[in-house]
Parts: sequence; structure tokens; C-alpha cells
Amino acid sequence: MTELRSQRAAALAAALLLASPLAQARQLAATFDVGITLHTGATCGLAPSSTVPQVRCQSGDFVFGALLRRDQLVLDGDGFAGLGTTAEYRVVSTPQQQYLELVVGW
Amino acid sequence: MKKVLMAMALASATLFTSMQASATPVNKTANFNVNIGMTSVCVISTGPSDIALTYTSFGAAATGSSGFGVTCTNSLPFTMSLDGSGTAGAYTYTDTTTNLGYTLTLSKVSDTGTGAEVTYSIGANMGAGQSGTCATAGCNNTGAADAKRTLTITY
Repeated sequence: MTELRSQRAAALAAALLLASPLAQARQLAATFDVGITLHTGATCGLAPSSTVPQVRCQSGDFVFGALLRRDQLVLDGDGFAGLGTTAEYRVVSTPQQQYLELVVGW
Repeated sequence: MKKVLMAMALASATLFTSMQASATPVNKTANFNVNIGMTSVCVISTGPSDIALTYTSFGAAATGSSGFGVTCTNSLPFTMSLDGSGTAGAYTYTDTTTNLGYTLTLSKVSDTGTGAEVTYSIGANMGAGQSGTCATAGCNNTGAADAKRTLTITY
């Protein structure tokens, strides 16, 4: 009998604890900004058949002091990468022409 | 005469004895309880600072971090999370303005209060080689709704 009372008391205490606000999860929040600035770079057209190819970009002419040859480039998916100090080369295919695009970051 | 003197002496002795009895301190005690109810709390004592990520299309990864401080009642366990979907404290987002993906990682996802402020950090990483979306030479997400992220403490 005493054990039964004890069990009931424990059950009641547990129920009260669950019902108590102290048993409920409480939350607080703070916000912060993730500010993102994207620089698009310039897409440049590469002049073919030149030992020092001249590249025309959105913001002006860029001259590269190195010969770009297709066999020096490494195919990576649908683009070329790996030569020089610039960010990326890629092949652009259109029905009329194929040419290299050079993407330069600034 | 002798009888009178004896009577006076007796009276004095009685009075002295009586005075002695009334001078003995008598202690009475009563108990009372000091009932204490305590509510444990957590506060974000130092709010997270903003993170700035500057990225160039197809460029290298951009990283940043934000610090914040949490003060919780001693021994009170709590958890930390960010908005969005993530596991083990790492959350992935795609910024709607620039279409650039980035992750935010909490330095810790759960802890126990010490009564003093404990500092934590949120690391930001924008992976290399992303194109992004921008019609001009530069764009930013200033003022965009999803530029604002939320840190939540649950205890």
C-alpha cells in the first residue's frame, strides 16, 4: 500500500513537472547579416593566331605576355583551365564559330 | 526590636531571590523557512556580428566568421542552432540575390552553462569556382531578406 502511494506520488510529481513552464524548452534568438558582394569579372574575347594575344574585355583591352596554345590547356568539363595567371578559359561553341573565352577577375 | 530586624532581613532576602529569578534569560524559539524558487535562464550576452563575404565569379573560396557570447545559469544545458537546414552544426544556403552558395558552421552545437559568458563562433565558407548571377560588374545582397540569418539558443 505504501509502495502504491509512493508510485502515485512519483507519477503526480512527474506530471506536474511536465506541466510546469520550467519543463518546457525556452528559446531566444539573435539575427546577423551575411552580406555578400559578387564581382562578376570580365568576359574577354581572345584574338587568335597571335604570339601575344590581345584580349578585349568589358573594361578595356588586356594584353597577355604569353602565348596561349590549345595544347597547353587542360580540359576540365566544358571549359579549359590551368594556363597563365588568369582565372579561367572556356570554349564557347556557337553554330558559326568556336572560340576561347577568358574570364578575368578584378 | 530584634523581631522587626529579622523580619526586615527576611523580606530583603525574599526580594533578592525574587529579583534573581526574574533576571534569568528565557529563550523562546520559532522556526521559519526561506523558500527559494529559481528560474534558470540563458541570454545571448554578445550578439553575433555580421559576416561579409566578397567573391569573384569562378574565383577562390571566400571565408568569414562571426562571434557571439552566451551566458547561461550554471549547470543549465542548452543547444545552439541556425535557421535553415543543416546537420551537426553545418548549414547550407544559396543566396537568392547572387545565386552563390555558402555554408555556416557553428563552433559548437550544445553546451552547459557556467554562469559566465562563453564565446562561440560561426564560420562562413563560400566555395570556389561558382559563377553566381549578376548582370553588372558587381552585385550585393544588401537589404535582401535572406541576407539575415538567425541564431537560436534553446534551453
